[in-house]
Formats: sequence, structure tokens, C-alpha cells
Amino acid sequence: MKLVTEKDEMMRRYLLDEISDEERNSIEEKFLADDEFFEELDALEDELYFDYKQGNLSATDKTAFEKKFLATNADRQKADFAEAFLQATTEITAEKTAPSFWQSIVVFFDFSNASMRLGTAAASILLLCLFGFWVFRNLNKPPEIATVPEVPETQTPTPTPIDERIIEQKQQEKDDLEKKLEEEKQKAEQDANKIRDLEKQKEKIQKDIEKNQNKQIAPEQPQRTFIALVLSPGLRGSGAAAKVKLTPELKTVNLTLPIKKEFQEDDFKIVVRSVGGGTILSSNAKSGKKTAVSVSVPAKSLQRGSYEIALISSADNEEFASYYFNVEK
Amino acid sequence: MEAKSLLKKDWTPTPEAFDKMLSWLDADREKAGEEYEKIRQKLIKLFKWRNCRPEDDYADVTINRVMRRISEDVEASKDKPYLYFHGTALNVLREFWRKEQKHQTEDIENVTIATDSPQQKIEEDYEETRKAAKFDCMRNCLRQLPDETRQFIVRYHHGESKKDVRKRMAEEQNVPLNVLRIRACRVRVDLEKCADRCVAIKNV
Repeated sequence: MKLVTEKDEMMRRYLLDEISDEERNSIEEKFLADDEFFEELDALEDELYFDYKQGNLSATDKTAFEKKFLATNADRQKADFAEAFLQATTEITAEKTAPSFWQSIVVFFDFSNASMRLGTAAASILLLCLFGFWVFRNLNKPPEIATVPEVPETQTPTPTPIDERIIEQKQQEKDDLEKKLEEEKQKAEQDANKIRDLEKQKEKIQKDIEKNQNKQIAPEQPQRTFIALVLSPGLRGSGAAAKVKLTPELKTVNLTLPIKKEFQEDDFKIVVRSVGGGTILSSNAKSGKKTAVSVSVPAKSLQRGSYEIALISSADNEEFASYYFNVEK
Repeated sequence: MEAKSLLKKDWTPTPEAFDKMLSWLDADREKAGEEYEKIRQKLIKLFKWRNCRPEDDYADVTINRVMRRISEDVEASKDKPYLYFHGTALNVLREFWRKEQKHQTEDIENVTIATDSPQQKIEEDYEETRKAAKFDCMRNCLRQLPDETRQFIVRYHHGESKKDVRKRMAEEQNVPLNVLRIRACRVRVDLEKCADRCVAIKNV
């Protein structure tokens, strides 16, 4: 099995800017052409955040990393994620390795330790001596005879008719109690069965929950599909609006919106809304000269109907451009 | 420095130009769309890894330039379109560095020293709260993972000699190390999504 350490090293040097221009260009050409290589490089970049948080980078690499990979807010959030991840997994590791009660006892009596062996031997001898002393003391003691007070003859326990009645009564009480006990035992057994059934049901539901939760975070399938369109600004109904066909596989609709020259300097907000309906998406565009802006709309937020994208100026809240598209199923 | 200042002022992308670029990428429109999205993602990373931020803007500048050239019928190889994108990206990079150098010289006299302000304190407190929420969420998300996946990711990141541990894991699973790394990365990406969703629900 190939362990690709040389390639790893080269990729790592690329990410930390320790590489010649020639090598850099060749790596870039490779990852632009090769999806798997790109994914490896991306994964290695991701791992650097963990190495950084675990203190596994050399001083030079650390400086290079901080300069390059902690420059923006998004970068810092990535580092925070790594920190939270490491903290949580450390906790899980600690839970897993925490000794049980019996393990703790075994660890406490660590017989591999010489001083513990000596101590245990001394304690055993002491216990033996105490036991010997107790046996010796009990053997030399005159036997203790229990003194029973003499009972006068009149108090001989011969049953009288009244006593018999009492005995019968008590016997009856005893029988009743036994019966009741039997009934309670049966009831308890039925309850235990009920509890067992309920526990089984609970386990089943728990498993279903876990299954659904796992589904939620199951890796995304590589069948991601999307539609990319460029929309022209205009009035609704002024021309043929772009059409988006919703399919079960469709996940993202990427829309490029050209901006007229007179509005290119403005800061603005992009609002995607259904015509006559609610807002689907709203985001702020970065300031600066923009000839076009792209917006990605999750397909699941779209239904059949007409949609409008408005560009709203941040300066005066005025809508300065609208784009339209129709969604079909 | 604004990425858009690197764009030709008299050109804006048009639906026709975009369509032409997609056709150049692939005759099948669906495949062309996928290819376009892949190239965009790769260009974003390329600019990040070249210290050219905000990377999305520079990726878009590159794409717009390619779109423009294709719409003007400039000869570009259909076999390896990524090479054309790379060449254009390198030109954008060179222009970025030139402008960046100029800016640095201009800005050198306008250095200000950041001081602690009450606003900064509030932001720091908020960051702490957010971090704590993220940790809680991360713990929950980790517990939601199937046992096998959780054990895999914990083992991948912990232990005294990570290199040895990973080598052993790769041998046990009979896969090369790079495959193991991609697997671990995918698990982390899913965890990050799960934690982000959870933090959003907590409304921190």
C-alpha cells in the first residue's frame, strides 16, 4: 500500500508557501484538472487547523499558517470549529477511558507496586493475629449457658378454648395474607412484563430517532446538481423570463445578475422573493464596483411560480434593478 | 483592494456570454453547469491559497474574464479549459500583487494602533458565548454520529503519535492515507454543518 507521504509533504509545503513557483504552478494545474487531488489538498488544509490548535506546527509553519489561514473572519471560525471539535472529542476519549468501579479497585490495589505488596502482606499478618487471638479467647472462656427464667406451673402453655380461637383467627389472617401476597406477586409480574414491553418500544423509538439524526448528518451524495443562469434586468412580463425546472436532484440555482453601469458603485442588498409572496433569501452585496453579482438559491426553497430578484440600494433603500424568473415542476 | 477594479469597465456579463462559456465547457448543459461550479470552487481555493482575499471576488473576476474572451471568440482549447482558467487566474494574481504592492507603500504612513474599546469587549464576550454554544453543539453532533464513525474520527485525531495511528488505521482499512484523510475531512464537514445548524437554532 502506497502511503503518499512525499505527496503529502509537497502539498503541505504548497499550503504553507514553502514551495518554488514552478512547483506551485504544477500543483495548481493538477488540482484544477484532478478532482481527487483537489479534495486531498482541501482536506489537508482543513487538517492544518487541527494541527495548529493541537500545537503540532513548527514555529515557522505556525507563523505562516496564522498569516495565511487566520486572515478573515471565516478563517477564524474554521479555527474555532477545530477547537470545539478537539475539546469535544477529548471529552469523549476521557469518558471512554475513565475506569469502572471495579477497575478503580484493581488500580487502587496495584500489586505490581512493591510498597503496595509489602503493605498488603503486613495487613494480612495483622488480620491473622487478630483472628487467632479471638479464637484463643473464645476457647478458654467457660461456656455461657443461657439462663431461662423459671416458669411457674400455672403458666404452662396449654391451649385454652380462647387461645384456639385466637390461633384459628391468626391462621386465617396468615392465609389471607398469603393469598394477597400471591395476588400482588402476579400483579408485579404483569407490571414487569408491561415495563419490559414499554422499554422495548422506547428502544425502538430511540433507534428510529438516531437513524433519522444520522440521516441528517450523513455525508452528502456526490450527485449535487444545479442550474446556472444569467438574468437580464427588466420589467415583469416585459419579455420571456428565464425558466428553472425543478427536479428531485436539483439543489442549487445559481443566478448571475448583470448590473447597469450607473449603479455599479453602489452598496446594495439582494432580495429574492416570490411574486406576490414572501422573501426567499436576502443578502448584502459587498461594496465596490460590481458589473455583475451572483446569488445561489437553494432549490428546496423554490416552488412552482414566478420569482423576482430585487437589488436595493443601501444608501436610500430604493430598488434600482429587478430580475425575473419562473419555476416549473 | 477591490477585486472589481481589475475588471474592464466597459464589459458586463450577458446571458449570451455565459451560455457561450457553458457550451465551451461542455456540449451537455447540465454537465457544463457542474463543471462551471467545480471550476469556481477550485478558483476560490486557488486565490485563498495564494493569499489573495476576498477569494470569491477574484474567482469571479477570473471567470468574467474568461467569459468575455470566449464571447469574443478568442481561441481557447476545448480539451483543457481548466488550463485557460489557470492562465487567466495567474494574470489576475499578478495584477493583484502589483496593486497590493502600491497600496502597501501608500498605507505605510497611515498605520493606526488598535486599542481596547468597550465595543471590542462586547464582541469578545459574544465570541466567548458563541464558542461555548459551538462546543455544546459539537458534543451533541458527535454523539449523534454512528458509533463506528465517531470512533473513527476520535481515533484519527487523538493519540500520542498521530502519524503511526493513521498509518495503522490505513492498514487496517486497507486504504491509502490520502483516502483516510478525505474520509476524515468529510466527517468533519458534516459535523461542522450539524454544529452550525445547532448554533443557529440556539440563536446565539
